[in-house]
Amino acid sequence: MPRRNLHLSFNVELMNLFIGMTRGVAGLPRDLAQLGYITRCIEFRFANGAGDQVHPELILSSGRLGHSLLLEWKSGPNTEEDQLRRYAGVTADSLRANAFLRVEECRQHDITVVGRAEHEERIAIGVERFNFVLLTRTDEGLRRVRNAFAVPELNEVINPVLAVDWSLVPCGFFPVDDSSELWEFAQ
Amino acid sequence: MARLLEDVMTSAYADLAENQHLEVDTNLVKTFLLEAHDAQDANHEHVFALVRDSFTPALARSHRRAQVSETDEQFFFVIEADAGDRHGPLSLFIDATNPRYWLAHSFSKTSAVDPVIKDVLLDSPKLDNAWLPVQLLERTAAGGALRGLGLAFDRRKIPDVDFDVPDAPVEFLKMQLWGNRAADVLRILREQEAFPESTTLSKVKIKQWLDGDDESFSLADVKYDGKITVRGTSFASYASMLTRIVDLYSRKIHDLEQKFRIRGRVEDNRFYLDGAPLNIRFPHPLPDLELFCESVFAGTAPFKLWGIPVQVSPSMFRVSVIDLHVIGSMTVEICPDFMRVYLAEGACGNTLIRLYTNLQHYYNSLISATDAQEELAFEF
Repeated sequence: MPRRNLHLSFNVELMNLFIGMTRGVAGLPRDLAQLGYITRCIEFRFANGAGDQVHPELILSSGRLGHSLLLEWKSGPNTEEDQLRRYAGVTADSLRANAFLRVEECRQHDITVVGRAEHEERIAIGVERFNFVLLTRTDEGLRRVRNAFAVPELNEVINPVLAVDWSLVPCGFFPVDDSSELWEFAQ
Repeated sequence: MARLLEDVMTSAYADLAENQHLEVDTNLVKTFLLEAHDAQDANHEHVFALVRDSFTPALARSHRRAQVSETDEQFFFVIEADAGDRHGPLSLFIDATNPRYWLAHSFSKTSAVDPVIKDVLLDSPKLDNAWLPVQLLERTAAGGALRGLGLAFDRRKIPDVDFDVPDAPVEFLKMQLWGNRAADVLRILREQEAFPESTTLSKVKIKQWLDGDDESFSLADVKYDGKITVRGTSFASYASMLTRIVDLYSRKIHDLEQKFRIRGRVEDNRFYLDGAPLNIRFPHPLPDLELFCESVFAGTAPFKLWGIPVQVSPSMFRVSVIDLHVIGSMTVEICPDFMRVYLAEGACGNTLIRLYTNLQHYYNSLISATDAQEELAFEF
Protein backbone atom coordinates (compact mmCIF):
# COMPACT_ATOMS: atom_id res chain seq x y z
CA MET A 1 0.00 0.00 0.00
CA PRO A 2 1.64 3.28 -1.04
CA ARG A 3 1.97 5.69 1.85
CA ARG A 4 2.58 9.23 0.93
CA ASN A 5 1.93 11.85 3.48
CA LEU A 6 1.12 14.37 0.88
CA HIS A 7 1.55 17.87 2.01
CA LEU A 8 -0.87 19.58 -0.26
CA SER A 9 0.58 22.84 -1.41
CA PHE A 10 -0.69 25.80 0.57
CA ASN A 11 -2.72 27.02 -2.39
CA VAL A 12 -4.26 23.64 -3.23
CA GLU A 13 -5.11 22.99 0.39
CA LEU A 14 -6.90 26.32 0.88
CA MET A 15 -8.66 26.11 -2.45
CA ASN A 16 -10.06 22.67 -1.62
CA LEU A 17 -10.87 23.69 1.95
CA PHE A 18 -12.93 26.75 1.05
CA ILE A 19 -14.70 25.11 -1.89
CA GLY A 20 -15.36 22.08 0.29
CA MET A 21 -16.77 24.24 3.10
CA THR A 22 -19.27 25.80 0.73
CA ARG A 23 -20.34 22.37 -0.58
CA GLY A 24 -21.12 20.51 2.60
CA VAL A 25 -18.18 18.15 2.29
CA ALA A 26 -18.04 15.55 5.08
CA GLY A 27 -15.33 16.19 7.64
CA LEU A 28 -15.23 19.98 7.17
CA PRO A 29 -17.05 22.73 9.11
CA ARG A 30 -20.49 23.30 7.64
CA ASP A 31 -20.87 26.88 8.89
CA LEU A 32 -20.17 28.62 5.58
CA ALA A 33 -22.62 26.41 3.70
CA GLN A 34 -25.21 26.98 6.40
CA LEU A 35 -24.79 30.75 6.04
CA GLY A 36 -25.57 30.35 2.36
CA TYR A 37 -22.07 30.89 0.98
CA ILE A 38 -21.39 29.43 -2.44
CA THR A 39 -18.27 29.43 -4.57
CA ARG A 40 -18.93 32.07 -7.22
CA CYS A 41 -15.58 32.60 -8.94
CA ILE A 42 -12.39 30.59 -9.12
CA GLU A 43 -9.22 32.39 -10.17
CA PHE A 44 -11.27 35.02 -11.96
CA ARG A 45 -9.60 38.25 -13.05
CA PHE A 46 -11.80 41.33 -13.18
CA ALA A 47 -11.53 45.12 -13.08
CA ASN A 48 -12.06 47.01 -9.83
CA GLY A 49 -13.92 50.33 -9.59
CA ALA A 50 -10.94 52.18 -11.04
CA GLY A 51 -10.50 49.77 -13.93
CA ASP A 52 -7.44 48.04 -12.42
CA GLN A 53 -7.22 44.26 -12.49
CA VAL A 54 -7.66 42.12 -9.43
CA HIS A 55 -7.32 38.35 -9.42
CA PRO A 56 -8.61 36.74 -6.22
CA GLU A 57 -8.13 33.05 -5.71
CA LEU A 58 -11.79 32.60 -4.87
CA ILE A 59 -14.92 34.66 -4.48
CA LEU A 60 -17.53 33.28 -2.14
CA SER A 61 -20.87 34.92 -1.72
CA SER A 62 -24.03 34.61 0.29
CA GLY A 63 -27.18 36.15 -1.10
CA ARG A 64 -28.83 35.54 2.25
CA LEU A 65 -26.25 37.64 4.12
CA GLY A 66 -25.76 40.06 1.24
CA HIS A 67 -22.05 39.48 1.47
CA SER A 68 -19.12 38.56 -0.78
CA LEU A 69 -15.75 37.32 0.30
CA LEU A 70 -12.71 37.82 -1.94
CA LEU A 71 -9.96 35.42 -0.87
CA GLU A 72 -6.26 35.82 -1.56
CA TRP A 73 -3.71 33.24 -0.39
CA LYS A 74 -0.23 34.32 0.73
CA SER A 75 2.11 31.39 1.15
CA GLY A 76 5.10 33.67 1.71
CA PRO A 77 5.73 36.46 4.21
CA ASN A 78 5.34 39.45 1.93
CA THR A 79 2.39 41.33 0.53
CA GLU A 80 2.48 43.55 -2.51
CA GLU A 81 1.41 47.10 -1.92
CA ASP A 82 0.15 47.51 -5.46
CA GLN A 83 -1.91 44.35 -5.34
CA LEU A 84 -3.52 45.32 -2.03
CA ARG A 85 -4.24 48.81 -3.33
CA ARG A 86 -6.06 47.35 -6.31
CA TYR A 87 -8.10 45.12 -4.01
CA ALA A 88 -9.02 48.20 -2.00
CA GLY A 89 -10.51 49.61 -5.19
CA VAL A 90 -13.06 46.81 -5.49
CA THR A 91 -16.56 48.22 -5.20
CA ALA A 92 -20.03 46.74 -5.09
CA ASP A 93 -20.58 48.01 -8.63
CA SER A 94 -17.41 46.37 -9.91
CA LEU A 95 -18.39 43.06 -8.30
CA ARG A 96 -21.78 43.22 -9.94
CA ALA A 97 -20.74 44.54 -13.33
CA ASN A 98 -17.33 42.92 -13.77
CA ALA A 99 -17.43 39.80 -11.62
CA PHE A 100 -21.10 39.16 -12.48
CA LEU A 101 -22.25 38.76 -8.90
CA ARG A 102 -25.92 39.30 -8.16
CA VAL A 103 -26.95 42.61 -6.65
CA GLU A 104 -28.01 41.02 -3.39
CA GLU A 105 -24.58 39.40 -3.00
CA CYS A 106 -22.76 42.69 -3.26
CA ARG A 107 -24.33 44.73 -0.52
CA GLN A 108 -21.17 44.25 1.54
CA HIS A 109 -17.86 42.62 0.77
CA ASP A 110 -14.57 41.80 2.42
CA ILE A 111 -11.11 41.28 1.07
CA THR A 112 -9.57 38.45 3.06
CA VAL A 113 -5.94 37.45 2.99
CA VAL A 114 -5.07 33.96 4.21
CA GLY A 115 -1.45 33.35 5.22
CA ARG A 116 0.70 31.04 7.24
CA ALA A 117 0.76 31.57 11.00
CA GLU A 118 4.54 32.01 10.99
CA HIS A 119 4.22 34.98 8.62
CA GLU A 120 1.44 36.73 10.52
CA GLU A 121 3.38 39.78 11.61
CA ARG A 122 4.87 40.49 8.20
CA ILE A 123 1.64 40.02 6.29
CA ALA A 124 -0.27 42.09 8.83
CA ILE A 125 1.84 45.14 8.06
CA GLY A 126 0.37 45.37 4.59
CA VAL A 127 -3.10 44.15 5.42
CA GLU A 128 -3.63 46.59 8.31
CA ARG A 129 -3.15 49.55 6.04
CA PHE A 130 -6.22 48.60 4.04
CA ASN A 131 -8.30 47.21 6.88
CA PHE A 132 -8.56 43.79 5.18
CA VAL A 133 -9.32 40.68 7.19
CA LEU A 134 -6.30 38.51 7.84
CA LEU A 135 -6.73 34.80 8.53
CA THR A 136 -3.85 32.48 9.30
CA ARG A 137 -3.56 28.75 8.94
CA THR A 138 -2.71 27.35 12.35
CA ASP A 139 -2.57 23.78 13.60
CA GLU A 140 -6.05 24.27 15.03
CA GLY A 141 -7.65 25.68 11.93
CA LEU A 142 -8.20 29.16 10.53
CA ARG A 143 -7.55 32.02 12.95
CA ARG A 144 -8.85 35.53 12.41
CA VAL A 145 -5.92 37.64 13.53
CA ARG A 146 -6.67 41.08 12.14
CA ASN A 147 -9.90 42.98 11.59
CA ALA A 148 -13.49 41.79 11.37
CA PHE A 149 -15.79 40.83 8.55
CA ALA A 150 -18.58 43.16 7.56
CA VAL A 151 -21.20 40.63 8.62
CA PRO A 152 -21.41 39.54 12.27
CA GLU A 153 -22.50 36.01 11.36
CA LEU A 154 -19.14 35.33 9.76
CA ASN A 155 -17.26 36.82 12.70
CA GLU A 156 -19.11 34.39 14.93
CA VAL A 157 -18.06 31.49 12.77
CA ILE A 158 -14.37 32.47 12.90
CA ASN A 159 -14.25 33.76 16.46
CA PRO A 160 -11.32 33.83 16.43
CA VAL A 161 -10.67 30.24 15.31
CA LEU A 162 -12.64 28.04 12.95
CA ALA A 163 -11.50 24.53 13.85
CA VAL A 164 -10.28 22.55 10.86
CA ASP A 165 -8.84 19.05 10.93
CA TRP A 166 -6.23 19.55 8.24
CA SER A 167 -5.77 15.82 7.83
CA LEU A 168 -9.32 15.65 6.45
CA VAL A 169 -9.08 18.49 3.93
CA PRO A 170 -10.23 17.11 0.58
CA CYS A 171 -8.18 17.15 -2.57
CA GLY A 172 -10.95 16.07 -4.91
CA PHE A 173 -11.83 19.49 -6.30
CA PHE A 174 -8.33 20.62 -7.23
CA PRO A 175 -5.93 17.72 -6.79
CA VAL A 176 -2.96 19.61 -8.22
CA ASP A 177 -1.65 23.03 -9.10
CA ASP A 178 1.44 24.34 -10.86
CA SER A 179 3.58 23.54 -7.83
CA SER A 180 2.55 19.89 -7.68
CA GLU A 181 4.96 17.04 -8.31
CA LEU A 182 4.77 14.99 -11.48
CA TRP A 183 3.66 11.87 -9.60
CA GLU A 184 0.74 13.86 -8.23
CA PHE A 185 -0.39 14.61 -11.77
CA ALA A 186 0.03 10.93 -12.60
CA GLN A 187 -2.32 10.04 -9.74
CA MET B 1 -44.99 -9.39 -26.60
CA ALA B 2 -47.19 -8.29 -23.70
CA ARG B 3 -49.87 -10.77 -24.70
CA LEU B 4 -47.40 -13.62 -24.86
CA LEU B 5 -45.91 -12.74 -21.49
CA GLU B 6 -49.36 -12.45 -19.96
CA ASP B 7 -50.29 -15.90 -21.27
CA VAL B 8 -47.17 -17.42 -19.75
CA MET B 9 -47.65 -15.54 -16.52
CA THR B 10 -51.27 -16.55 -16.01
CA SER B 11 -50.72 -20.15 -17.01
CA ALA B 12 -47.85 -20.45 -14.52
CA TYR B 13 -50.03 -18.92 -11.84
CA ALA B 14 -52.87 -21.32 -12.58
CA ASP B 15 -50.50 -24.30 -12.32
CA LEU B 16 -49.13 -23.05 -9.04
CA ALA B 17 -52.56 -22.32 -7.61
CA GLU B 18 -53.92 -25.71 -8.55
CA ASN B 19 -50.96 -28.00 -8.09
CA GLN B 20 -48.62 -26.01 -5.81
CA HIS B 21 -45.87 -26.70 -8.34
CA LEU B 22 -45.14 -25.85 -11.95
CA GLU B 23 -45.79 -28.31 -14.76
CA VAL B 24 -42.72 -29.49 -16.60
CA ASP B 25 -41.57 -26.84 -19.08
CA THR B 26 -43.80 -24.21 -17.54
CA ASN B 27 -41.71 -21.35 -16.22
CA LEU B 28 -42.28 -18.08 -14.48
CA VAL B 29 -41.81 -14.81 -16.28
CA LYS B 30 -38.56 -13.18 -15.29
CA THR B 31 -37.47 -9.65 -16.00
CA PHE B 32 -33.95 -8.27 -15.72
CA LEU B 33 -33.57 -4.52 -15.36
CA LEU B 34 -30.48 -3.59 -17.34
CA GLU B 35 -28.72 -0.29 -17.77
CA ALA B 36 -26.90 0.71 -20.94
CA HIS B 37 -25.35 3.86 -19.68
CA ASP B 38 -24.12 5.42 -22.91
CA ALA B 39 -27.32 4.71 -24.84
CA GLN B 40 -29.26 7.56 -23.24
CA ASP B 41 -30.38 9.16 -26.49
CA ALA B 42 -29.60 6.33 -28.86
CA ASN B 43 -31.80 5.51 -31.84
CA HIS B 44 -33.24 2.11 -32.70
CA GLU B 45 -30.28 1.06 -34.87
CA HIS B 46 -27.74 2.01 -32.25
CA VAL B 47 -29.60 0.10 -29.54
CA PHE B 48 -29.99 -2.93 -31.80
CA ALA B 49 -26.25 -2.94 -32.45
CA LEU B 50 -25.65 -2.69 -28.71
CA VAL B 51 -28.00 -5.61 -27.98
CA ARG B 52 -26.34 -7.71 -30.68
CA ASP B 53 -22.78 -6.83 -29.64
CA SER B 54 -23.53 -7.47 -25.98
CA PHE B 55 -25.30 -10.80 -26.30
CA THR B 56 -23.69 -12.47 -29.31
CA PRO B 57 -20.24 -13.26 -27.82
CA ALA B 58 -21.69 -14.78 -24.65
CA LEU B 59 -24.24 -16.83 -26.58
CA ALA B 60 -21.66 -17.98 -29.10
CA ARG B 61 -19.57 -19.50 -26.31
CA SER B 62 -22.36 -21.51 -24.75
CA HIS B 63 -25.04 -22.13 -27.38
CA ARG B 64 -25.18 -24.12 -30.61
CA ARG B 65 -27.57 -21.71 -32.20
CA ALA B 66 -28.30 -18.11 -31.32
CA GLN B 67 -30.10 -15.30 -33.04
CA VAL B 68 -30.61 -11.67 -32.10
CA SER B 69 -33.33 -10.03 -34.16
CA GLU B 70 -35.42 -6.93 -34.47
CA THR B 71 -39.21 -7.07 -34.24
CA ASP B 72 -41.92 -5.08 -35.94
CA GLU B 73 -41.83 -2.60 -33.10
CA GLN B 74 -39.14 0.01 -32.62
CA PHE B 75 -36.79 -0.68 -29.69
CA PHE B 76 -38.07 -4.24 -29.19
CA PHE B 77 -35.69 -7.11 -29.85
CA VAL B 78 -35.81 -10.88 -29.52
CA ILE B 79 -33.00 -13.22 -28.64
CA GLU B 80 -33.44 -16.92 -29.24
CA ALA B 81 -30.82 -19.53 -28.54
CA ASP B 82 -30.45 -23.20 -27.86
CA ALA B 83 -27.62 -24.75 -25.94
CA GLY B 84 -28.89 -28.24 -26.75
CA ASP B 85 -28.79 -29.25 -23.11
CA ARG B 86 -31.30 -30.07 -20.40
CA HIS B 87 -31.93 -26.40 -19.64
CA GLY B 88 -33.92 -26.07 -22.82
CA PRO B 89 -34.08 -23.21 -25.30
CA LEU B 90 -33.60 -19.60 -24.34
CA SER B 91 -35.88 -16.73 -25.34
CA LEU B 92 -35.30 -13.17 -24.26
CA PHE B 93 -37.48 -10.21 -25.18
CA ILE B 94 -35.70 -6.90 -24.85
CA ASP B 95 -37.84 -3.83 -24.35
CA ALA B 96 -35.51 -0.86 -24.89
CA THR B 97 -38.16 1.81 -25.35
CA ASN B 98 -36.10 3.67 -22.81
CA PRO B 99 -32.76 3.20 -24.58
CA ARG B 100 -30.75 3.48 -21.38
CA TYR B 101 -32.90 1.31 -19.12
CA TRP B 102 -33.87 -1.99 -20.69
CA LEU B 103 -36.33 -4.62 -19.57
CA ALA B 104 -35.18 -8.09 -20.59
CA HIS B 105 -38.14 -10.48 -20.19
CA SER B 106 -37.89 -14.23 -20.39
CA PHE B 107 -39.94 -17.28 -19.56
CA SER B 108 -37.10 -19.69 -20.15
CA LYS B 109 -35.82 -21.73 -17.26
CA THR B 110 -33.77 -19.89 -14.69
CA SER B 111 -30.92 -22.28 -15.34
CA ALA B 112 -31.01 -21.29 -19.02
CA VAL B 113 -31.37 -17.54 -18.72
CA ASP B 114 -29.49 -16.52 -15.57
CA PRO B 115 -26.06 -17.73 -16.73
CA VAL B 116 -26.48 -15.87 -20.02
CA ILE B 117 -27.37 -12.59 -18.31
CA LYS B 118 -24.46 -13.10 -15.93
CA ASP B 119 -22.04 -13.72 -18.81
CA VAL B 120 -23.29 -10.75 -20.77
CA LEU B 121 -22.84 -8.46 -17.79
CA LEU B 122 -19.37 -9.82 -17.16
CA ASP B 123 -18.40 -9.34 -20.80
CA SER B 124 -19.90 -6.03 -21.70
CA PRO B 125 -18.48 -2.76 -20.41
CA LYS B 126 -21.62 -1.05 -21.68
CA LEU B 127 -24.22 -2.92 -19.64
CA ASP B 128 -24.85 -3.40 -15.97
CA ASN B 129 -27.81 -4.61 -14.01
CA ALA B 130 -29.79 -2.02 -12.13
CA TRP B 131 -28.88 -1.89 -8.44
CA LEU B 132 -31.84 -1.43 -6.13
CA PRO B 133 -30.83 -0.14 -2.70
CA VAL B 134 -32.94 -1.05 0.31
CA GLN B 135 -34.81 2.26 0.07
CA LEU B 136 -35.95 1.52 -3.49
CA LEU B 137 -37.09 -1.98 -2.55
CA GLU B 138 -39.10 -0.50 0.31
CA ARG B 139 -40.61 2.16 -1.93
CA THR B 140 -41.52 -0.52 -4.45
CA ALA B 141 -43.11 -2.63 -1.73
CA ALA B 142 -45.17 0.35 -0.61
CA GLY B 143 -46.89 0.32 -4.01
CA GLY B 144 -48.64 -2.96 -3.24
CA ALA B 145 -49.12 -5.50 -0.48
CA LEU B 146 -45.94 -7.00 0.96
CA ARG B 147 -46.23 -10.80 0.83
CA GLY B 148 -42.68 -11.75 1.72
CA LEU B 149 -39.09 -10.62 1.78
CA GLY B 150 -35.51 -11.78 1.68
CA LEU B 151 -32.52 -10.57 3.66
CA ALA B 152 -28.91 -10.90 2.53
CA PHE B 153 -25.85 -9.62 4.33
CA ASP B 154 -22.29 -10.89 4.03
CA ARG B 155 -19.58 -9.01 5.87
CA ARG B 156 -16.93 -11.54 4.87
CA LYS B 157 -16.19 -9.65 1.66
CA ILE B 158 -14.73 -6.81 3.73
CA PRO B 159 -13.11 -8.64 6.66
CA ASP B 160 -11.72 -5.63 8.51
CA VAL B 161 -12.63 -7.00 11.95
CA ASP B 162 -11.93 -10.12 13.96
CA PHE B 163 -15.15 -12.12 13.74
CA ASP B 164 -14.14 -14.32 16.69
CA VAL B 165 -14.22 -11.63 19.38
CA PRO B 166 -17.37 -11.45 21.54
CA ASP B 167 -18.74 -8.13 20.22
CA ALA B 168 -17.88 -8.80 16.57
CA PRO B 169 -20.45 -7.81 13.98
CA VAL B 170 -22.67 -10.39 12.33
CA GLU B 171 -20.62 -12.18 9.71
CA PHE B 172 -23.41 -13.45 7.49
CA LEU B 173 -27.18 -13.21 7.58
CA LYS B 174 -29.52 -14.66 5.01
CA MET B 175 -33.23 -15.20 5.50
CA GLN B 176 -36.43 -15.67 3.52
CA LEU B 177 -39.76 -14.71 5.03
CA TRP B 178 -43.06 -15.41 3.32
CA GLY B 179 -46.51 -14.32 4.37
CA ASN B 180 -48.28 -11.28 5.65
CA ARG B 181 -46.19 -11.08 8.84
CA ALA B 182 -42.89 -10.63 7.01
CA ALA B 183 -42.91 -6.88 7.67
CA ASP B 184 -43.34 -7.50 11.40
CA VAL B 185 -40.31 -9.78 11.48
CA LEU B 186 -38.31 -7.20 9.55
CA ARG B 187 -39.25 -4.53 12.07
CA ILE B 188 -38.14 -6.73 14.96
CA LEU B 189 -34.80 -7.56 13.32
CA ARG B 190 -34.15 -3.88 12.76
CA GLU B 191 -34.66 -2.92 16.38
CA GLN B 192 -31.65 -1.57 18.18
CA GLU B 193 -31.16 -4.65 20.35
CA ALA B 194 -31.52 -7.03 17.38
CA PHE B 195 -29.50 -6.87 14.15
CA PRO B 196 -30.10 -3.46 12.56
CA GLU B 197 -26.64 -3.29 11.00
CA SER B 198 -26.90 -6.59 9.20
CA THR B 199 -30.59 -6.72 8.35
CA THR B 200 -30.37 -5.77 4.69
CA LEU B 201 -33.38 -6.22 2.51
CA SER B 202 -32.44 -8.09 -0.66
CA LYS B 203 -35.83 -9.04 -2.05
CA VAL B 204 -39.47 -8.08 -1.67
CA LYS B 205 -42.50 -10.09 -2.76
CA ILE B 206 -45.29 -7.73 -3.71
CA LYS B 207 -48.85 -8.34 -4.68
CA GLN B 208 -50.35 -5.60 -6.74
CA TRP B 209 -53.87 -5.32 -8.09
CA LEU B 210 -54.99 -3.57 -11.21
CA ASP B 211 -57.50 -0.80 -10.54
CA GLY B 212 -58.79 -2.46 -7.40
CA ASP B 213 -59.92 -5.56 -9.30
CA ASP B 214 -59.39 -8.54 -6.97
CA GLU B 215 -59.03 -10.92 -9.90
CA SER B 216 -56.39 -8.91 -11.78
CA PHE B 217 -53.11 -8.93 -9.95
CA SER B 218 -49.43 -9.72 -10.15
CA LEU B 219 -47.24 -11.27 -7.49
CA ALA B 220 -43.63 -10.27 -8.05
CA ASP B 221 -40.33 -11.04 -6.36
CA VAL B 222 -38.13 -7.96 -6.81
CA LYS B 223 -34.43 -8.52 -6.07
CA TYR B 224 -31.80 -5.89 -5.31
CA ASP B 225 -29.81 -6.89 -8.40
CA GLY B 226 -32.66 -5.95 -10.70
CA LYS B 227 -34.05 -9.42 -11.31
CA ILE B 228 -37.82 -9.76 -10.96
CA THR B 229 -39.84 -12.96 -11.08
CA VAL B 230 -43.59 -12.72 -11.48
CA ARG B 231 -46.78 -14.76 -11.56
CA GLY B 232 -50.40 -13.72 -11.38
CA THR B 233 -53.31 -12.90 -13.62
CA SER B 234 -52.52 -9.43 -14.96
CA PHE B 235 -49.50 -8.48 -16.98
CA ALA B 236 -50.77 -4.89 -17.02
CA SER B 237 -50.48 -4.75 -13.25
CA TYR B 238 -46.92 -6.07 -13.49
CA ALA B 239 -46.05 -3.65 -16.29
CA SER B 240 -47.23 -0.73 -14.20
CA MET B 241 -44.96 -1.83 -11.35
CA LEU B 242 -42.01 -2.15 -13.74
CA THR B 243 -42.69 1.31 -15.11
CA ARG B 244 -42.70 2.73 -11.61
CA ILE B 245 -39.41 1.05 -10.66
CA VAL B 246 -37.67 2.16 -13.85
CA ASP B 247 -39.01 5.67 -13.42
CA LEU B 248 -37.75 5.92 -9.83
CA TYR B 249 -34.44 4.32 -10.71
CA SER B 250 -33.76 6.43 -13.80
CA ARG B 251 -34.66 9.65 -12.01
CA LYS B 252 -32.29 8.72 -9.21
CA ILE B 253 -29.46 7.98 -11.63
CA HIS B 254 -30.04 11.33 -13.33
CA ASP B 255 -30.05 13.07 -9.97
CA LEU B 256 -26.81 11.36 -8.90
CA GLU B 257 -25.10 12.38 -12.12
CA GLN B 258 -26.24 15.98 -11.77
CA LYS B 259 -25.18 16.35 -8.16
CA PHE B 260 -22.05 14.28 -7.81
CA ARG B 261 -20.19 14.68 -11.08
CA ILE B 262 -17.38 17.20 -10.62
CA ARG B 263 -17.30 19.24 -13.79
CA GLY B 264 -15.18 22.18 -14.79
CA ARG B 265 -16.52 24.54 -17.41
CA VAL B 266 -15.63 27.94 -18.82
CA GLU B 267 -18.34 30.47 -19.53
CA ASP B 268 -17.87 34.17 -20.24
CA ASN B 269 -14.17 33.66 -19.73
CA ARG B 270 -14.85 32.42 -16.26
CA PHE B 271 -14.08 29.00 -14.78
CA TYR B 272 -16.87 27.22 -12.96
CA LEU B 273 -16.63 24.05 -10.95
CA ASP B 274 -19.93 22.22 -10.55
CA GLY B 275 -20.82 19.30 -8.34
CA ALA B 276 -19.97 18.09 -4.88
CA PRO B 277 -18.94 14.72 -3.54
CA LEU B 278 -21.34 12.12 -2.24
CA ASN B 279 -20.75 11.84 1.51
CA ILE B 280 -21.09 8.26 2.73
CA ARG B 281 -21.04 7.97 6.52
CA PHE B 282 -20.29 4.82 8.49
CA PRO B 283 -22.21 4.01 11.67
CA HIS B 284 -18.87 3.15 13.36
CA PRO B 285 -15.34 4.33 12.55
CA LEU B 286 -13.61 1.98 10.14
CA PRO B 287 -11.24 -0.17 12.20
CA ASP B 288 -8.77 -0.70 9.37
CA LEU B 289 -8.80 1.84 6.56
CA GLU B 290 -6.21 -0.03 4.57
CA LEU B 291 -8.03 -3.34 4.61
CA PHE B 292 -11.32 -1.65 3.82
CA CYS B 293 -9.79 0.05 0.78
CA GLU B 294 -8.09 -3.12 -0.40
CA SER B 295 -11.36 -5.06 -0.17
CA VAL B 296 -13.65 -2.53 -1.83
CA PHE B 297 -11.26 -1.42 -4.57
CA ALA B 298 -9.83 -4.80 -5.50
CA GLY B 299 -11.58 -4.80 -8.87
CA THR B 300 -13.70 -7.83 -8.05
CA ALA B 301 -17.46 -8.41 -7.85
CA PRO B 302 -19.70 -7.09 -6.55
CA PHE B 303 -18.08 -3.64 -6.41
CA LYS B 304 -16.11 -3.99 -9.68
CA LEU B 305 -14.05 -0.95 -8.73
CA TRP B 306 -10.29 -0.90 -8.98
CA GLY B 307 -7.77 1.53 -7.58
CA ILE B 308 -4.59 1.77 -5.57
CA PRO B 309 -5.22 3.45 -2.23
CA VAL B 310 -2.67 6.09 -1.29
CA GLN B 311 -2.43 7.28 2.27
CA VAL B 312 -2.46 11.06 2.09
CA SER B 313 -2.71 11.90 5.78
CA PRO B 314 -2.74 9.93 9.02
CA SER B 315 -6.50 9.62 8.75
CA MET B 316 -7.22 9.68 5.04
CA PHE B 317 -6.65 7.47 2.01
CA ARG B 318 -7.25 8.66 -1.49
CA VAL B 319 -8.08 6.28 -4.35
CA SER B 320 -8.34 7.13 -8.01
CA VAL B 321 -10.88 4.54 -8.97
CA ILE B 322 -11.62 2.97 -12.31
CA ASP B 323 -15.05 1.42 -12.63
CA LEU B 324 -14.12 -1.79 -14.39
CA HIS B 325 -17.67 -2.37 -15.30
CA VAL B 326 -18.82 0.69 -17.14
CA ILE B 327 -15.33 2.17 -17.59
CA GLY B 328 -15.87 5.37 -15.71
CA SER B 329 -13.69 6.97 -13.09
CA MET B 330 -14.03 8.65 -9.76
CA THR B 331 -11.94 9.78 -6.84
CA VAL B 332 -12.65 8.51 -3.38
CA GLU B 333 -11.34 9.90 -0.09
CA ILE B 334 -11.75 7.52 2.81
CA CYS B 335 -11.53 8.54 6.45
CA PRO B 336 -12.53 6.50 9.50
CA ASP B 337 -16.00 8.06 9.79
CA PHE B 338 -16.89 8.71 6.18
CA MET B 339 -15.93 8.44 2.55
CA ARG B 340 -16.30 11.15 -0.09
CA VAL B 341 -16.93 10.11 -3.65
CA TYR B 342 -16.22 12.48 -6.54
CA LEU B 343 -17.67 11.20 -9.78
CA ALA B 344 -15.65 12.24 -12.83
CA GLU B 345 -17.20 14.12 -15.69
CA GLY B 346 -19.11 11.66 -17.89
CA ALA B 347 -19.03 8.92 -15.26
CA CYS B 348 -22.17 6.93 -14.67
CA GLY B 349 -24.53 7.21 -11.72
CA ASN B 350 -24.68 3.42 -11.80
CA THR B 351 -21.20 3.42 -10.23
CA LEU B 352 -22.48 5.27 -7.17
CA ILE B 353 -25.62 3.24 -6.73
CA ARG B 354 -23.65 -0.01 -7.10
CA LEU B 355 -21.15 1.12 -4.49
CA TYR B 356 -23.84 2.22 -2.06
CA THR B 357 -26.10 -0.81 -2.54
CA ASN B 358 -23.25 -3.24 -2.09
CA LEU B 359 -21.98 -1.46 1.02
CA GLN B 360 -25.46 -2.06 2.43
CA HIS B 361 -25.12 -5.76 1.64
CA TYR B 362 -21.45 -6.29 2.40
CA TYR B 363 -20.52 -3.77 5.08
CA ASN B 364 -23.30 -2.23 7.13
CA SER B 365 -27.00 -1.92 6.49
CA LEU B 366 -27.10 1.45 8.24
CA ILE B 367 -24.59 3.37 6.16
CA SER B 368 -26.00 6.71 5.05
CA ALA B 369 -25.24 8.86 2.05
CA THR B 370 -25.93 12.57 1.80
CA ASP B 371 -25.50 15.42 -0.62
CA ALA B 372 -24.09 18.90 -0.02
CA GLN B 373 -27.31 19.97 1.69
CA GLU B 374 -27.16 16.98 4.02
CA GLU B 375 -30.16 15.49 2.31
CA LEU B 376 -30.26 11.72 1.97
CA ALA B 377 -29.02 10.83 -1.48
CA PHE B 378 -30.82 7.51 -1.81
CA GLU B 379 -34.33 8.35 -0.77
CA PHE B 380 -36.91 7.37 -3.36
